[in-house]
Amino acid sequence: MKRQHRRTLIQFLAALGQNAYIPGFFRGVIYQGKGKLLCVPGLNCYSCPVALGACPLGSLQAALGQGMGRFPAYVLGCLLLFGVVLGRLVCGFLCPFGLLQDALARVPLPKLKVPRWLDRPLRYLKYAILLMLVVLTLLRLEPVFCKYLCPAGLLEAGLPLTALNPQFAALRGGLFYLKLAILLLIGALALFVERPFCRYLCPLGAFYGLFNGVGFYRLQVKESACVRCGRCSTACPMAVDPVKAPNSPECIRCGRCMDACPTQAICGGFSLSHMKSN
Amino acid sequence: MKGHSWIKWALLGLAIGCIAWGAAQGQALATLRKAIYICLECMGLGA
Repeated sequence: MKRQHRRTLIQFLAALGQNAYIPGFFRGVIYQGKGKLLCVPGLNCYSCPVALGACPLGSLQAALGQGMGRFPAYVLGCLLLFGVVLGRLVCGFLCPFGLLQDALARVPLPKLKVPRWLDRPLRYLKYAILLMLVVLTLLRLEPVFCKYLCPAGLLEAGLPLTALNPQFAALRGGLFYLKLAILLLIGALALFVERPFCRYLCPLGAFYGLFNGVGFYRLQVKESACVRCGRCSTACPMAVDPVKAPNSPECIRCGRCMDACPTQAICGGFSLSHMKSN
Repeated sequence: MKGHSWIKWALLGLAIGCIAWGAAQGQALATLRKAIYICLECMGLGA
């Protein structure tokens, strides 16, 4: 099986594995079992009627904003564990919202290349959102990212539960339609630009990206085999040049660069010891 | 990153320590208690 087909299969299985509470979908209720003791690695709203685990960002905001203790050690430990072991491999393989964006990118429409002058500053936006998420949640004691921005919450929880349960449908207001507009905008962008949410907005991807350079999963470029053809950077959905920065915080470890390389100069895998740079 | 492999092991140890300490403090159960209720804000239904 080709690498990208295998990745798509893993993405589907991961999305299904995290969202396998089928009765919730028919009854308009959410899972209340012990699976929600555990944080899942990707953006997967715990209010989704089929979700089996807890979204790490939702849990972090709940911990910061609901007085679970002064230091949210459990959720931060989970985030740190996913970050150091997998890094942004989570974005490429395990996040259901990443799968959705990949599916939209396959719609045969012309793809736009975001100009560098716009792309560079926008990439820092996700770090600002991560910082604001922590600060504003502490100040306002409410899940500000989930409430105002998170498109996964509306897609996975808001839309199905308001469709299934008339009590929720009656609560739709300005905030619901604001979030719907954000979701539609991100969806429309994903038709023309690959992974726009992951590139510019996702605070979870921003956090995991911090560990790409030091984590267990590494990409390596064999200098002697590289012919500098540039096919890897052209194939990259995140516009990363793997030869210059194989472990860039932006790399979602999708492996398209490895497929595009004519000399198999790029390889990736888990490493227990140190790796040589490049 | 040559010569810095200890960082990932230190981070892994820190992560496991945080999870164990947080779980011992009851934070995992607190996460469960929050995650089993429907979050209206997440759905865009908050005030």
